[in-house]
Amino acid sequence: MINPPRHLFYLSPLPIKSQTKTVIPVEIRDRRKQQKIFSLGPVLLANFAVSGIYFLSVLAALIAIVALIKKIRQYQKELDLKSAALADQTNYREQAEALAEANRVLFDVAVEGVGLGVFTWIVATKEISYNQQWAAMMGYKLWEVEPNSKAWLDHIHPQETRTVKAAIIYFLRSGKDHYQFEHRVKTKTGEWKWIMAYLKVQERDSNGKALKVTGVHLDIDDMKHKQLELQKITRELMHSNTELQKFAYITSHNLRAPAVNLLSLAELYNYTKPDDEFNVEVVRKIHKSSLQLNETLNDLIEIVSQKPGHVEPTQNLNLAQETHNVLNSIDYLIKKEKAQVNLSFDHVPEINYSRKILHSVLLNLVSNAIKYKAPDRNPIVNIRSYRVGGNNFLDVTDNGQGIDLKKNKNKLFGLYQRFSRKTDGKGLGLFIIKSQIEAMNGTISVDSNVNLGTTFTIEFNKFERN
Amino acid sequence: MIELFLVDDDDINNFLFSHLLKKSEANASLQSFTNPLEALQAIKARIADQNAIDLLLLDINMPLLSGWEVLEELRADTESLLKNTRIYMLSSSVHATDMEQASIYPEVSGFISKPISLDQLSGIFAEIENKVAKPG
Repeated sequence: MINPPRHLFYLSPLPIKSQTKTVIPVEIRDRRKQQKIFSLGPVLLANFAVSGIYFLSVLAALIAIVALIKKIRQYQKELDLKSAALADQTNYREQAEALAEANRVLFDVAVEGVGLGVFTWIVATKEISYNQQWAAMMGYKLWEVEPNSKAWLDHIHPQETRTVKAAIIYFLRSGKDHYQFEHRVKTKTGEWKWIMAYLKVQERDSNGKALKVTGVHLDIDDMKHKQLELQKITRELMHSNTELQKFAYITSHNLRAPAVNLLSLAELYNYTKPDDEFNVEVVRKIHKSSLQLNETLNDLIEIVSQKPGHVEPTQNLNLAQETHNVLNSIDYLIKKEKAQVNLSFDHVPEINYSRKILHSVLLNLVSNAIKYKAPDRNPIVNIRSYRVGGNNFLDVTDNGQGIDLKKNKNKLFGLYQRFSRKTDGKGLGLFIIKSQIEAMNGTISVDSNVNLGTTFTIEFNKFERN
Repeated sequence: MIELFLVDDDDINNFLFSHLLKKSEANASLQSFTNPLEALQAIKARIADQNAIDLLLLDINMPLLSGWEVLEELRADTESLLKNTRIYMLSSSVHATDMEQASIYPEVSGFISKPISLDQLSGIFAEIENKVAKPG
């Protein structure tokens, strides 16, 4: 590798050779002789220098070799380190792989155990690959499921289709990482099932637009039904609680009023002069107050005896016959007010219902219609039965004074609400029949125009068919 | 002379009140109503004629219009004019909900649980006399 410097062998003879061939004047020759003496010095010196250079070169070479060896060692070290690191990496990778495998097992168990529908959705192409559990949740085999968004979106309940689609569009545009909502899906057997959908963006393009979305569908049907049922029960409880509060308020008021009047009237009685004419008026008012107290107590008994969950026995009832029985019991009122009651039961002559409740309903509605008559005309009450959409209805229409529904609709069926005076109505009737009708799964509604009249419509067994 | 309006659908209560008033020997003129709508008309008419009402006794629980609704109607029409009127709400039983309602109606001076006693009535009359006397 290291050649000895060749010029060391050629340097010395060259100047001598050139001297023999050249004619040189004496004095110059002499000078040359001197010069010769002097010229030998540089040659030797050069030789020395050459040797020095040679030595230095060798030294440099040695140093270079040493440096090289050092470098090689360094490389070796680095290589050792790198290979050690590589070994570490391999180890790490193995560990990571083991962890991934463990996670995969956990994931599979979770997915299987919970029946988790998992899917990956390529947004642009609407391709969705679903897992087996997703298909199973929907009642299908995986091969029956089209691998696109239709398999999901086309099975959403019509009531939720719009909101779900809007939610998805919102999610994709919002830049949110994940989103969650609930809706019903139609399974293969045609049943509706509540699911919870969780979506997460997996990939975005450089503009942040979602390219790939991963989603989870969880069957929450049981939970959701329980939740809805609880909400319903809570609403009902709150409603009946409010009713009870009103009841306590009104009854305490209506019981106390006649009781207090009785006390005060008794104090007004002139005991020292029993034949005082004033006493006659006082006693008449005492009588009136005791009647009021008695009626309020009877109403209370009626309400309290309505046990929740108690089902009234039903039977086939001839509407004309039952109505005649009721009208006979209020004959005095009909005659006194010169009322005319027209019956039309041709469309539905018979219903299967509780006789007790039918009587109570007819009695209340007909006597109300007569009591709240218009001052300038005799009362006319039309009662008719009819059938719409498989349900039986009964209308009681009057030509009475009417009710301002704008002001009173919410209070109409409430406890002790009266909308007219000059009558002895205590406002309990509509409350009682409403709760009776509802206990029989029916509804009662009202339509009224002030000074024209009122129609009460009863829909029997409305909820029984569902 | 104290101008007094009583609005209560319970005619027996009104009968009892008129006797109590007689007994109190106060210098008062009473107009009582069992129909809140008629009462509302009369009150509005009276105020429109620039005639004061010194005391208004309003039953809470009435058909057609509750005592609160009567107040609401009066407010809408004659809020400023009612400032000179003392208003007491009547009820055969005073409930917490009624007390809460009262906080919405600062024009209400108080509640009276029926029947009103002679002492209560005299007390209210005394208040009215004093108030009238002061600005005199």
